[in-house]
Amino acid sequence: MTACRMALPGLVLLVATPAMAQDVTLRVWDSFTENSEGMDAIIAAFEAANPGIDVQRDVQSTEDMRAIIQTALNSGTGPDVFQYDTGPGFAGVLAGGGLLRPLDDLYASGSLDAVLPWTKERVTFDGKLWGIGNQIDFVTVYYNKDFFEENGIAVPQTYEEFTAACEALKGAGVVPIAFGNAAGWPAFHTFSAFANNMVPQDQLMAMIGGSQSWDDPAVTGAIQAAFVDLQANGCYNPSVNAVSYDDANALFMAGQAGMTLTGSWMINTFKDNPFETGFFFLPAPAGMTTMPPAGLGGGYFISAATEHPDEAETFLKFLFDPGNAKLWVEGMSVIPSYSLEGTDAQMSPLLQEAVAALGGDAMGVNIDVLTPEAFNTTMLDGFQAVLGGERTAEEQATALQASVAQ
Amino acid sequence: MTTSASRSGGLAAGRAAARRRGRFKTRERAGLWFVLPALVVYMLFFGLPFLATLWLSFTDWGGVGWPDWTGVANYDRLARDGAMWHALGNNLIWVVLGTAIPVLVGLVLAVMLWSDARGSVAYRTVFFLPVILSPVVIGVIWGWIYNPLFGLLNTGLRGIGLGAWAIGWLGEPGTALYAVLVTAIWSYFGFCIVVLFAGLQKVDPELVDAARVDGAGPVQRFRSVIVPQIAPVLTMVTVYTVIGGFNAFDMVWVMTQGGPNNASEVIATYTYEVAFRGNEYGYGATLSMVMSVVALLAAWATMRLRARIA
Repeated sequence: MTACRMALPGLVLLVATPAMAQDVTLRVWDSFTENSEGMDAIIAAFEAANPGIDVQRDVQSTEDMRAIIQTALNSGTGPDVFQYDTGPGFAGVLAGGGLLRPLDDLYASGSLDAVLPWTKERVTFDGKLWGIGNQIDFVTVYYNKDFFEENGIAVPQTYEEFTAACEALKGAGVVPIAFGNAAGWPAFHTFSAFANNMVPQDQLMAMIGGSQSWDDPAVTGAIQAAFVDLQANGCYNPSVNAVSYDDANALFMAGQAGMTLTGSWMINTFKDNPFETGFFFLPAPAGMTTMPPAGLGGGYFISAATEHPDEAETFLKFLFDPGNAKLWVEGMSVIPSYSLEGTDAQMSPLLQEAVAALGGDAMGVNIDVLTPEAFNTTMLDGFQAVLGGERTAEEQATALQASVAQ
Repeated sequence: MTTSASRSGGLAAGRAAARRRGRFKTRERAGLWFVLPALVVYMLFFGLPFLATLWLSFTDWGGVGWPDWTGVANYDRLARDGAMWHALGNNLIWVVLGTAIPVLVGLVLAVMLWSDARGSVAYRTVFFLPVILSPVVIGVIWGWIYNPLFGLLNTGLRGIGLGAWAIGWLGEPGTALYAVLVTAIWSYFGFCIVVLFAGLQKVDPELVDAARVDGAGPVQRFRSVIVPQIAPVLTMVTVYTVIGGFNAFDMVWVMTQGGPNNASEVIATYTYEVAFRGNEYGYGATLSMVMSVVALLAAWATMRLRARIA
């Protein structure tokens, strides 16, 4: 009996110890498909710094994430923390449906003071902060420096020089601009680049806000220049609507195209090109200001249904701690949403250029992340129709406005 | 006496009938228990989702919160939805060509293989190989074949001096649907061959020989002797293919996502886009109902037509 009494606490300890030491498993979803190893490294560093938290990471493509996140959160089987598109058409819908946990207290705690203030606007809905903007992106024109040097082409400073560069590259026997729009959405970036340059910024913001019409000569001009004139002049590879985004990038990376217009998220891939790669912002036509589209690549959010809110917040604090900037910059070539001043991170020359560029002139906006789904669908189908010769630029501008009215 | 005997006889018969009924009820009850597991699974995974979809089709639901009941508003919208009618039209093209070609080609090849063709097993294996491949894999591979930059098709066309025909097959509105359809037919006709070949094993060779002796030619023997004997299998393959045509999704999604500018959109891809990209789950459910009803009607019409011809 005495032996039993003595053994009992030991037995309780034996049973209780594993339970108390059991890790909390945090389910995290993100869309870092192209720099997945870098995100694995960030998570490994987080787990090493927080021994009680085990992160179970699932990588979903952006498209898959958009298709399943709502259902997953609704069913209660979704992630505790996830990376998703910011803006009213995406995270705004989830916040409105009560699927997100508000982060006002986390911001108020001072843990996120380093995060750039403007990024908060993109994750604020109905006066509450629902996420943390992440990954500052911009749309730019990457170019093959070797081609440009060999053919005596200077980096274009004006739109005329840009079209002249196209002609020069065409004359040299290479595709001037690799463009693959089979999926439809790459045209969003092209349109953003042209519209920001050709529509006055205050007018463009009013259009996005719904107080001015898209059925406007300036919008028609941007569509005409981007999808009709450049194609008619042979600046793009043939069959743009039949070429995938990846194939267009491959065309550029293989040295068969002189330029390609895409986002800064490709820096991690293009930095390893077998030729020297640079980028410049698409120059605006005479009389207009060059306004490269920029914004957030996404944001991090916590599910309203999470059973581990404290651990989820700990994870976010780690992600947005400037002390960990090195992990983002070196491992993923991602520009985090806080200042990189004072960081000792080793950046590729291309990323250094990108960071410097962000600190320069005024930036425009990525239109598709700020517009509703119906508008984006009209962009997706309509720009393919314009490229295919089935619709004029003017008809597409009218269709864009009609989708807003709808 | 007679009356009483007939009465007692009647009573006995009544008791026997009651006993039979009782036994029948007991057996019926036992049978019910046997089918219950399958019935539960069927209701859980087919009946309930079907009813839920039907209910959702009368609502407006963005995927979060509780759906709003809107009555027949979605069905009213359906009637005026040009994109839906365009997609349905593409489905009809898909069903007609995607059924006629593989079934006819499959039938002819199956009969050829059945007629003691040399290497029958090898041919059947080769023809059936695409069927065992995943539609996604087939879509990706054929996407490479059609690729305008490095695809085999355009390279071949340029190689034989037909460079003018080298176009972006999946990016041209006039060719996108047919390019995907060719892929779908290629991946499916082997299935028709194998099923019809199995059906041909039941054809009585003596009838074919008798027809030959009577002077019937190969076409007559095929039409009047062989086809009637495999009619049930032929009907099954045709109905299965027709229903599959209305449900076509994977190949289209992988190769064109319904583009360019909806040129290759079919009802299933349109439903997916409406529901999951546009977050209109209520209207997406309405489109699903249309898809089911049209497929059922087409299957019923095919069976009726087949019965009338037979």
